[in-house]
Amino acid sequence: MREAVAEAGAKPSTPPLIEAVGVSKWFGAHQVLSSVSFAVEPSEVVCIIGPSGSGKSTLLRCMNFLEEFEEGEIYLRGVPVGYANSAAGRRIRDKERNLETLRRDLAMVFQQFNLWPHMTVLDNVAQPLILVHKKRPEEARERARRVLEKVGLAEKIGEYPLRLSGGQQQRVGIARALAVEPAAILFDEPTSSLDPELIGEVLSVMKELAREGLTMVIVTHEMHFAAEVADRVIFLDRGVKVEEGVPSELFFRPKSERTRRFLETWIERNSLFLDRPGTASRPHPAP
Amino acid sequence: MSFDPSLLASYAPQLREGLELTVVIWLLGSALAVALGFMLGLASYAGVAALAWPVRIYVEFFRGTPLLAQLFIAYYGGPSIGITLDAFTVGVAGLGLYGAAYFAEIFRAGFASIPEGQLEAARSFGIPRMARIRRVILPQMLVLVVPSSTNLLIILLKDTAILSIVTVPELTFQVTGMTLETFSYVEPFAALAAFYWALTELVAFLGRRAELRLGGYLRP
Amino acid sequence: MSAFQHLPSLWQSSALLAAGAGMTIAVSLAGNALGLLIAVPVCLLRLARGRGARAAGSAYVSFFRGVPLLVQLLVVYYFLPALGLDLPPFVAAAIGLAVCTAAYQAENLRGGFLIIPAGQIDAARAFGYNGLQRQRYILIPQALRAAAPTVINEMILILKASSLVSVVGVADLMRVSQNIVARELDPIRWYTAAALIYLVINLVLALLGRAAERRLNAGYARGTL
Repeated sequence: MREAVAEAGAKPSTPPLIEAVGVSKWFGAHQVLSSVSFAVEPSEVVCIIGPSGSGKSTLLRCMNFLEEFEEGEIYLRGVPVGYANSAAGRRIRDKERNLETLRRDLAMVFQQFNLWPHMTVLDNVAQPLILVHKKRPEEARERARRVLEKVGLAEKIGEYPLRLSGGQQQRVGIARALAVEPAAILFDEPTSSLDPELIGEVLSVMKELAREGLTMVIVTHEMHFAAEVADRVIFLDRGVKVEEGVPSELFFRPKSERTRRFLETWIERNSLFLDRPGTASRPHPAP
Repeated sequence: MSFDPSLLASYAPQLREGLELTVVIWLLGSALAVALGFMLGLASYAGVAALAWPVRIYVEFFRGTPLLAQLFIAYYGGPSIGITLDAFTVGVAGLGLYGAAYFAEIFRAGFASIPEGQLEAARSFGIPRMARIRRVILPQMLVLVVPSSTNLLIILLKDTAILSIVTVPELTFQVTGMTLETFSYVEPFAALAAFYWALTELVAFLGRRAELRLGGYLRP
Repeated sequence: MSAFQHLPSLWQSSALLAAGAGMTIAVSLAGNALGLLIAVPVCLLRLARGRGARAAGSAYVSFFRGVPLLVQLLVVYYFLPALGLDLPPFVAAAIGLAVCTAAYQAENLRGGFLIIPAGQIDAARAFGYNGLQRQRYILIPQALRAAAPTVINEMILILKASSLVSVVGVADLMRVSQNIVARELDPIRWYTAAALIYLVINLVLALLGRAAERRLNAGYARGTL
């Protein structure tokens, strides 16, 4: 890691795994992120929720620098992401090489899966290991096999992605992310493109990973999943972090009116069954 | 290799005639191609059983053989079966029959691209077949076929140059004649190339404008 | 060639026609091969980051698609000697075909790149692939596969287009049939025969093209791509 720069930005105690400080981003004249700050500790599961257009995915994509941001800093293990401060204190965009180093530590699971269709499932998972992490091909494929088995797709390793169902493809996506043994995995609405009956298989894999202590940052609309699995939930609305808290607080005793309104429409549309006495606004059928 | 621009002036009348003929033959040939191609495309789409094979053979022949061969058959072969046509007629008919085969496919695809659901809706409201074609299919289809039609029209414009080989006195024919007399070849043909470039760019530009005008309701 | 001259004239003419067909196929192949070679740098120009490079690529494509092939062949045929290159007509014709088809093939290749969903590049970037790796492992394999149908189609179209090389002194199918007609005076028969030979070769090429496409996509179900 770049020690000199780390000195400038690192905190005295162990820094959070990922930290965002005052991140702001504009698309032209339109501000999509307004001074967003939060931190993710190792083994934490943080869920980011909010309405469409709130900037959730943009924020996530800033974390592995798929999107650039104009103001603020993001730190991975105390090291700034994407920008380095020159001696004069000005911000200069980091070299591509350093970005690649960063991206070895973070992996991403995409809403559209983004598997590479011209390669087999096995190669999809093994290739980043070979090309980026410089593993030997046999070692990479062996690790890929193990990870694919873990997500329940051992028999599909020779298949091409487009022949799999959506849920299977997403599980391959998760396997691909797991295989590189990242410090954290970023999930960008992993189930939003799935048919309803396929969502469950992906969520159960994610729940298992959470149980095993994987650090996860998840942008999601699946509120009951977030309520069940998240250590902390962040509510983003129109680029502003409105509220942050543990699920039992944020879902049942939201502090902000905006949070409440967002959760209400969600609860109405989805018959969210919150099995805490006295919390449901009206009787719901069991899911 | 000197080219005297004043030569251009002395050939100006022939060049102008050549250009006029190019445009006239292009327009007439294209009109024939569109009209005939539309009927062929409609017949193909509507699935008229008796016409299926003749249309198919027509399209396969005119799309599968070079325009030059077709022109030779018509111009040099015609007299031997009693049909002697002048170069101009061969030019227009040749371009038209050739273009029709390509337009047939464009129109057929255009017809087929109207979502079946719209036709079902029209049928369920009792709208008769001809009216369905006129009111539902045609307006939408026109938008869809404009890009490929513009493309094809530009191709037909370029193909008018081939007519020079069967002595149609269009632009390329005139320039070729000029080079044979002046013994200067490169500059005249290069200028000819630049001229066609400008012409096709103009047609392409107009085509894009037409696309935008007609396709307004498709954009969000 | 005295044995040849003793054959009945119908056989002679048919043999000449076959030779002409061979020449047509040969000049088409040469034009296609050279054309694809030229198409690659033109495509790269079209996709380049620099505005100047992109403009150069666009100008090339616009020019060679905007000028009739016949005129291009005439320019090349007369221009090469002016450069001091005394090339046989076959070579000049192949070059003329090549620079023309390169414009179309460059666009076909470019289409292959454009069709790749941006998400795949996102994934490659997210996992740390550098630019060269993205090109080599993710973009180029898919671009070639996606462009294959249009590239193959254009290669087949060159066969018909090659009929124009008869004008610049190549003894192709059209030129040979003209020579035969000059002697035999049966234009309908020989020009129709020539046309049908083009048709047959076209059909064969179309079948080969479809077979090639099928092999390219074996097992790779075309879903989103």
